[in-house]
Amino acid sequence: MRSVFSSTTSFDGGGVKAQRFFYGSLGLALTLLLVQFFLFRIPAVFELSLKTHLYDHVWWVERPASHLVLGSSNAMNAVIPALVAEQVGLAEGEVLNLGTNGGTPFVMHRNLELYLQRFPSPKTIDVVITPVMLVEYHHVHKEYEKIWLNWEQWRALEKEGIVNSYAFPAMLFWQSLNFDPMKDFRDYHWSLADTRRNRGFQPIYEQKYSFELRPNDFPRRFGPFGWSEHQLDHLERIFRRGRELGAEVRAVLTPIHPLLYEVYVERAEELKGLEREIRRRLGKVKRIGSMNPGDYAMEHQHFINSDHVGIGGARRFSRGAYGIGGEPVDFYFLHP
Amino acid sequence: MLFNSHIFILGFLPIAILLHDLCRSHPALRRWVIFGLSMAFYVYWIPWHSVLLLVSLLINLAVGEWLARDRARLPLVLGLVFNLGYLGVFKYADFILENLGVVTQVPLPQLGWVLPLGISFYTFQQMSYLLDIHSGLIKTRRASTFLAYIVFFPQLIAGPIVRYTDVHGHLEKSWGSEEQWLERCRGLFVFVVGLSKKLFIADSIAPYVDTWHAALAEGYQPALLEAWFIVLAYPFQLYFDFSGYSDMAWGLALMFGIRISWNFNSPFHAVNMSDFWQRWHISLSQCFQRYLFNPLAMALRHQPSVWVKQIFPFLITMTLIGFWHGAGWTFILWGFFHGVFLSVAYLNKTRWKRKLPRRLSWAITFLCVMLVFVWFRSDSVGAALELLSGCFGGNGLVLPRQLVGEASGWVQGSWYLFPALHDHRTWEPILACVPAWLLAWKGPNAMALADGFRLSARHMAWVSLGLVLCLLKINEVSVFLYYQF
Repeated sequence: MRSVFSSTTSFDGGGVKAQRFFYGSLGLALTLLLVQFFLFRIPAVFELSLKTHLYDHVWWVERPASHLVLGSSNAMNAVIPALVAEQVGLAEGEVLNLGTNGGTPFVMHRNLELYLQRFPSPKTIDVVITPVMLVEYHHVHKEYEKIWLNWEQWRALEKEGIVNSYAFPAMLFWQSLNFDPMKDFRDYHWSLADTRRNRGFQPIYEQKYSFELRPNDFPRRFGPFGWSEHQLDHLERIFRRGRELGAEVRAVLTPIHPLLYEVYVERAEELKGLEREIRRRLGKVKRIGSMNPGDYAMEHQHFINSDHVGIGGARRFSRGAYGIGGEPVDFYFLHP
Repeated sequence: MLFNSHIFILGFLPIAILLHDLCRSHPALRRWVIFGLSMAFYVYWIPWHSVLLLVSLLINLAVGEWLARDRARLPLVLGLVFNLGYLGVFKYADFILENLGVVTQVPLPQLGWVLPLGISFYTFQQMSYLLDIHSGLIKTRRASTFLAYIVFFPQLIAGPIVRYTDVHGHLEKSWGSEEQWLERCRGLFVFVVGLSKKLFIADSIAPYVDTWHAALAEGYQPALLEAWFIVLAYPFQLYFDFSGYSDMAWGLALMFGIRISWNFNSPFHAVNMSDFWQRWHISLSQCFQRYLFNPLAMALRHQPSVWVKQIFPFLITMTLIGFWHGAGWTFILWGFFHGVFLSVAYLNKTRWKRKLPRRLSWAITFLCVMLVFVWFRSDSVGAALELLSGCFGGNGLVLPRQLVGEASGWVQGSWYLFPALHDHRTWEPILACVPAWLLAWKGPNAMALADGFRLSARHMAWVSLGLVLCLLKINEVSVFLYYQF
């Protein structure tokens, strides 16, 4: 190829040409990085990724349900549709669990809309809410929240190995294009047929996991980040949308490991602001379930890690929480 | 700080280049800036390790001055004892205590100290500095040159092991000539080549190799096909990881006006073991050859027995090279087996004089190198033996005997060629390894790529796009394999 540096293709050129090459290469690289940083923060460009399976967890659903459960993996692993149907007096198959790994209100909202594009409105919508899903920490890198990170926040993402998705959203876009939902299911060794048969519930067998927890495993549960306005906004929109459709929209809390629960109780003050904000946005809501494992006589062996129940815990929760009705109340995570 | 991190590429490196260039006309200031930048690079990892490094530097600097004034044996011996003791305490004490406990049947306490980063490399460089002063190779010395030479960040953590005489000239002159600017561009190009090798090849193989060896450590018995795949995967992961690091070090050094030696030269093209060690971790093998093998062979040259005068130096040198890599029997055995193979090659060359066809010679060398790497990677002697047993059909042909009849129950919907990787599809590890094999055998190495570098638009595009793709690929902290040594 002909040299762009006029006369030379060899090292007998000059320092000026080499300087042009050096700074030109770095400048070009930097320009490309900046272009992708800002390009994927344009909503119209980012929204192209919404067309992929990464943000679509409804694609596998074959038939509608009158009772829909939205949430993260806490919902996916804890709510057994067959048992819930039994508890609330619905026919088998009438309850559908749309919980997803890493699910957030943003993803839940997206999935509710996708569901409504294909099926009639459900009569009941349960929204599994966890404090973790409402922290910026867990979303700045994957849902392009438009915040500038400070040094501490950057380091926190770097330690988690997720800073590149924040700084280089082109990579996240590429991942969303490559996302393989079949492989996602395979993470838990459950096939598509199993997922359909279980109506979205993914059982995890506790005996496959052995883990130990200590309270000081959670020194900075939420990292150096605040509550996410973006996620709170989508949470509010889910409730508003459901109510507009005439559905009963309820908040669901799922139990966490006893040691983690102790930490939450000790640090309950840190959640007060978030609880107030949720109450302001949602008003009074019916509240199902509890984060307290003691409410379902759950102990260490019912969990597969700090946040997630195994199959035994899921059975206890689905029977225990859904058998109880209630009036709309002010939202809280731990205590009124 | 890792070369393959955002903080290094986007933060440290631009600042380092800027500061270096600001004082490029003042050689002394330039050396102190290089020293300061390198210490900042080192402190970022575990700060208190830099105190150990400074103590080691100051003691070696003082011993070096003593040696230069009075080229007697005493300062040299004291210096070597200090360095070997320093290395021994931090790297080998627990291994020695553990094995003493086994021999004496008295459980001895373990120190449990964290191995200071780069200790094996900077200690060996300092020993080579003292030995070269003693032998009169180093005529002029400057404290700032010595400090910058030892802690120079491109090669501080994992080499290459550089000699003072090779770089002091580069450190003692100003920077900024046309030639140096051209070399900086070439260095940038090679840095991107090395980064790509690490991120796109080595890191793609790593998860499978790690899973396999974790399973082996827990008693997994791979069948023949899987065992050979494990054997053939790891050396290529290590090659692309360490040669990638070495290329980055070479490129970075050149960007700061210092030419260090190449560490790899297509090692899997080697046609005999001696050839392999002239292509694999070249700086280490040269260091051991220069300071251990040659003096030992010279001292024993009048011995009548070939076993004593040649085979013994091979075995000792290679076993110590293995021990240098890590305090464990698997490393010692890895080195010892290389010593055995080198001895066989030597005997064939000097006594038996059997000429093998080149391709057959290559195949035998390759096979030996692959099988011996099993010791290098295995967590224990037992795990290595289990893997080698699998390679020779000891655990079944396609499916491990322990899984026959029940595999379909737990490896869902997947062809179970690699049962230990049941979370992955069979083609995934194959897809990760095939490019590595092809590139190592057929592709140009970094030396050839550096020679072919031109100030052209094509190379500029390669550098820019390569850098961008690498930055996009950096996802999680992926430590270089040789950082543990």
